[in-house]
Amino acid sequence: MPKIEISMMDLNRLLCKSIDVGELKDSILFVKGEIEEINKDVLKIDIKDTNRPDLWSCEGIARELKGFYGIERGLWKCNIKKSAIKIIVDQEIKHVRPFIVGAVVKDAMIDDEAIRQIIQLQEKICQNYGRRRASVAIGVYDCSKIGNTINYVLAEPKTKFVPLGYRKEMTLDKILKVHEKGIEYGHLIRNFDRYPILIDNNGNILSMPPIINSATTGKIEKNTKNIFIDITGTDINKVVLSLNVICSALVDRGGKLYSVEVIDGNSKKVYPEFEYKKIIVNRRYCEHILGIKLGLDNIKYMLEMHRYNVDIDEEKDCVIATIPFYRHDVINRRDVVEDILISYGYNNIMPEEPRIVSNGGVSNISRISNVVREVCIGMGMQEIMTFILTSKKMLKNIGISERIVEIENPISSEYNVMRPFVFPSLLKFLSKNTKSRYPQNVFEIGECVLFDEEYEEKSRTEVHVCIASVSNNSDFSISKSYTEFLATALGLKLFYKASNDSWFIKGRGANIFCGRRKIGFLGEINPCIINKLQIEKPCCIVELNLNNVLREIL
Amino acid sequence: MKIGIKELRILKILLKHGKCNTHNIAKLANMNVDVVNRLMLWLKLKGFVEYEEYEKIDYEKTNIFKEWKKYGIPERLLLENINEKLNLKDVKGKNIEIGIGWAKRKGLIKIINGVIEITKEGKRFLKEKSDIEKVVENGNLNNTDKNILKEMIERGAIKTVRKKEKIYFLTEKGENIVKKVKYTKLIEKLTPEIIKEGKWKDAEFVEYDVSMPVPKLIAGKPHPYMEFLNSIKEKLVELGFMEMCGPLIELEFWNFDALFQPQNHAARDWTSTYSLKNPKFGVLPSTELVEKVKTAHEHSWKYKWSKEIASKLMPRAHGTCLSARTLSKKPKEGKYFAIARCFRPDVMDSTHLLEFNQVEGIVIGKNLSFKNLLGILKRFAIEIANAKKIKFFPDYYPFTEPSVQISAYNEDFGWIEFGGAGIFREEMLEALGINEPVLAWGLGIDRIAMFKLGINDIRMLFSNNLEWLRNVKVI
Repeated sequence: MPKIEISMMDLNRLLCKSIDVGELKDSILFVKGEIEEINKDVLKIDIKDTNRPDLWSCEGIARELKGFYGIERGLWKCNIKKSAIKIIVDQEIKHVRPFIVGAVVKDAMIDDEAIRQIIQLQEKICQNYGRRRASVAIGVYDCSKIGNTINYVLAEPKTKFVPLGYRKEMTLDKILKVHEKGIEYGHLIRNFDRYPILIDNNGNILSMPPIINSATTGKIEKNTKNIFIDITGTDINKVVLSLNVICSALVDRGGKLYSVEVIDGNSKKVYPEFEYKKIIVNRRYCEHILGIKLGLDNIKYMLEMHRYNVDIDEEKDCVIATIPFYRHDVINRRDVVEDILISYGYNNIMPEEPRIVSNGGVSNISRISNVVREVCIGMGMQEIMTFILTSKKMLKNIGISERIVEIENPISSEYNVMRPFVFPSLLKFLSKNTKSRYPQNVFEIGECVLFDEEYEEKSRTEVHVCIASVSNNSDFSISKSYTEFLATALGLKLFYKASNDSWFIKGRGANIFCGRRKIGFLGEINPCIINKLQIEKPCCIVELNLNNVLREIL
Repeated sequence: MKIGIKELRILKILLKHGKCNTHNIAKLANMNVDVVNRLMLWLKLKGFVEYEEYEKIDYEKTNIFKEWKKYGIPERLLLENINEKLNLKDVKGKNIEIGIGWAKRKGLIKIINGVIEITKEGKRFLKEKSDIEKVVENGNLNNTDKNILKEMIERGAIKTVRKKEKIYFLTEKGENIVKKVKYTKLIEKLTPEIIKEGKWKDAEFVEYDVSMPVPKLIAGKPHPYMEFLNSIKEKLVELGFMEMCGPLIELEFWNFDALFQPQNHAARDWTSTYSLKNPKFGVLPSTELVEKVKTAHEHSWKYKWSKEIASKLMPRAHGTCLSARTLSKKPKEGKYFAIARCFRPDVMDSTHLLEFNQVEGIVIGKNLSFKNLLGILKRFAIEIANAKKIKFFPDYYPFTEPSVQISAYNEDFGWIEFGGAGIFREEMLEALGINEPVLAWGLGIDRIAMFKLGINDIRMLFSNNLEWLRNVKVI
């Protein structure tokens, strides 16, 4: 959910209408936005739609709101003239960063606020839509400083130019190592032996996509007359859409749009390429999905608010909607219906509960968990809730040697694996409560994850109950008493066999069986673990696998 | 006159021993000092006891004391180092040097022409422990000879601290009540013997002050957050919803692909969801389903769908994968819900957890519409959030269209974002083989839970403070 900042003054000037923050609070819903902060003239807005980069700048919001306020309705259009600039794509680059498109915008009104919006839009597109520049990276340049033929080629790491933010020439290699952006985005190209650059017919390097622009050409300033935009990436659809979004924003600032020719091997294409898709929406379908009555004229009007063009086909009882070129989020008729709904107003629909007769119920594992929970509380146990994520180191400290399901990208080493048992969580809990009153009898019913090749997920999730007791009197016998009491309540007959689990005192740990199935273990925790965790009194535990218990009961 | 049994025991002690401080009372009554202190306050309030406050001089051990205890006192260190005679120049070590002064003062050594010699007194000292050493050894400063304390103060092994001490004694009122208990047949504690032998018939019971403080009980109790989650479960079951279950570790296929979330979507980045290091890949479900999902993605999103990405494993990031699994079994009509533990790589703070519980579900039926979805949401808001007002907002989820957010209002917590919902996308349902509309919803219940528990830090939902859990209300 991109959060953007816009200026009220700028919005009003783009809208050609004066609205206040109060009005915007309502109308911003029209673009799935929400005002999060107001700081004098500057508003922080959360745009919820992650598939609509056209709304991530003031220009786009104003364009849509013009429809809402009736200032302009129907398709947004602009003329594209030809520029002299062409981009020639070197075929070797295809396996590094295959796609490039470009455009030129002349005479846009570039003041400080406009620059802020362009930079913000550029950033939000690259970060969110472009997945941190992996699929989309954008460069803007002062057109007057570059030549007419631009080559998109791979260059040796020793190649030099002056990157933005520096005054001296640097080699491409050094930029990846030293430059802030090189460090941040270097991983996208570091594995190749040569790196992409844009170089013009005068031999000037424009940029090193997707890392950094050149300090000489790759910067726009207040009153920059003509802007050249390039977009590179790995996903042609996203690259094309990003260009469309940026161009239309600049045209909204009074710019005139000029195309750029991209020569890619045998293919010659001209960008930007505004494609207007058509979708047929049946009136009945609309009514069916929304549960309200609608007329064709109604539908037309409401879609024009969203800047669609609409043709009515009375005979077939449907509309033919032409979709704005800057929207790739409209994939099928359902997406069109949502725009109708937004125009109609969510709160203008009377909610009505569905008439479906169904029997509610909880799962078997929930049912048995509830019984076990009540018995545990009856035995004087305090229920606790802990995290399923835990630390690999702690499990190792306890002596758990099972294969553990491990997280690749943990936020902290305290939570880097999924627990295979509940008892380590309880021991950790108890270690944090040594100053609490004794006896400390606690239990948790929670999920665990175990390695298991037989499942599609290569692991299985089980629900375990674990009871832990810490007090001067906590010993093997009491843990077994708890187990027996619980077994009686569940109608189970249990058998015990000595266990070798290293977390128990030798000779004071047992595996619990029901029939032939192992359903858990119990015993007195080894003092070496008690010491490691800085628990101060004797400790015993019982852990039962409720999925296995359930199998015995059913 | 009403009094408790412990209080009576204290009054009896004061009658027998006269003035006492709380330490002595505690010892005599075999009670904890803190308990006694608490009871004394109450007895004073009731006018049974009074106290005088004295300033008491107490001694506190310093580091020097600890060193003595560990290594011995300096004069002993010195003498043990002297073999008959020792040249002053050969004396080494700070403590041993200090020992010279004291050994001389105590007449344990003589120094003649710079040579130390042990005296007779010194030889005796070497054979047995001196008084000061005995004190150091047992560490008890009470009842210690004043001269020894004085020396220890002078040598910096202990220091004096002034403390105020309350000495309690009985008031007349207090004395009366104890005597009454003592000289008439009053029963303090009812025993099996008294019941069996009928002794109670010609005795009176001590009447208790029912407002007296009592010890806190340690007993079993449900977790308030679990209790809250269970109450939601109950509500949903009442409304006709059936519970869904599923694994914590999911294939990306179920978490994303089956929900029509493209593989190049930002939500699938490593910063937004966890992935697994080990095991890394799982096995995709039936080829037919996989092919349909692939086609839906490639047709709509126009990219090359990868089986490998779909078979990556992850801890589930939302409960919606349970809905996808349920739908893949092609149910006809019905209502389903789950309370699912979900995982996201957020940095934990007062508003974020890295694992949390999500309540969500689906309704499947032939003629369902958006209007019905709003109906369900409204019902939830009234039943679960006790909402007095509700409002709907446009929202975005990759797998629903249209999507909606509901905000609920009541006097207690004002407006809160209560849930998100939508109608599952046609592309997604087609791939799963479902022809009817499916309404999908998820509720944000943690804000309400926090409000009910009276906490403003979300981490407290998983509090590791046992005392807090013992004292918190459950309902």
